[in-house]
Amino acid sequence: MSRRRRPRPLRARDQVFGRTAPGNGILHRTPAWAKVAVLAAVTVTVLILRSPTVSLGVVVAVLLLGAAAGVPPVKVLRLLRRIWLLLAAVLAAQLLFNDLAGAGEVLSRIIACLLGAQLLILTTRPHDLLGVFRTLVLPLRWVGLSPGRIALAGLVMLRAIPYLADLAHLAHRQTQARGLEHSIRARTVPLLTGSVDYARDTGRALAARGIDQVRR
Amino acid sequence: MTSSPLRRGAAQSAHRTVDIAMIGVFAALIAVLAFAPPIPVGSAGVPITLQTLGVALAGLTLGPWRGAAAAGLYLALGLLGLPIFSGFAGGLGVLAGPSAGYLLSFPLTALITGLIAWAVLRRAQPRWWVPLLFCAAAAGSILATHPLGILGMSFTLDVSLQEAFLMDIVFWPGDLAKSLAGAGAAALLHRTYPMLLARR
Repeated sequence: MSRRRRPRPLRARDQVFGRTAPGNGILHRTPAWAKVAVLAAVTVTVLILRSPTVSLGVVVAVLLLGAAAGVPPVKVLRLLRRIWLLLAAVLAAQLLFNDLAGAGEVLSRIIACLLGAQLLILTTRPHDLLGVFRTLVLPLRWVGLSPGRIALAGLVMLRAIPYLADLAHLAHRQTQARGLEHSIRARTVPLLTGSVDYARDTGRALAARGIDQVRR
Repeated sequence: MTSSPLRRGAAQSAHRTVDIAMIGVFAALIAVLAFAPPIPVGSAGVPITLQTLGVALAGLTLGPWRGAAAAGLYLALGLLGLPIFSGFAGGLGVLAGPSAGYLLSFPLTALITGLIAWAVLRRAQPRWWVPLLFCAAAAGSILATHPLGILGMSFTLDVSLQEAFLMDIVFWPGDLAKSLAGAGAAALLHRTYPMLLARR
């Protein structure tokens, strides 16, 4: 008799929207539209000026502002660890085609813009951002699109991401079990059929309840 | 069968709601494929990311308008500040990065791919679907993703167009593999759900 196998620990689910830093600092209480507007202004400034001093200043300001609002700098900087490969590729390309000063300028600009956005992500709930989105698409009324329906599609998307992330993980495990890890198609088909099923079910459930847009 | 105006209206409304849900779910699919860690492909095991596969699938599955709407929704919400780009980045800041051009091209890619896919599904025999859908996905990628991606890189990285083109070549083999896989999956899907991209 073989001993009962020790259960393998389940891998933690991919966290997508649980990334908000907990707290009730000044940034958490600022309305989402104000943060989006400030971030847009800062990004445009950094992109136009293209000066390493300004970019590094923005990085320092973001970290200080985050610390003042109760977001530890480690949480903001964690983004850099996730995209280090991209940054390394940028650095390599710059050293190859430009010089060291150019590399510093480009890298500081990219990091400043991404960290600023990261602070917004860490202190804003996705549903508040969707409210801003619904306001921003209001002008599309004039070309015959309904802002309420666009916002509904956005809500469906928010709800679908965790479900599809689980489905993608499951599809990955299935391809491993079949020895097809190298096949993109074997990994895509279950995800694709699952998406279509999920969309049809969601659409019919919404229709049955008479919901076809998000009203204000 | 007689259909009262009320019932016909209800059916139309249900179609519209399912369309809205399709757009939302396929925007989510693009996001989920963008998160997926790079996977080794082929006997050489070259790691590639699946980000552009979601865009091709949106066009191939939903057709031009709904596909472009799904890609546009993904792009708009990502730029607004949801962490749905690869590496869980998000916000207007990505426009400073090297992938700016690629991201901005997504709605156009889905539109081109969707237009060709729609024509293929209406006109061609099912046995030609896989090669023709592959052409649709490849056309979207060649006509929209890569030109705009090269422009974006030359703008954000301060390099010339030729140098950006050289950097872009790295993505070509993976792109062809993704287009092929997407075409196979989409052809299977359209055989399973013939009404998905209704052949009117």
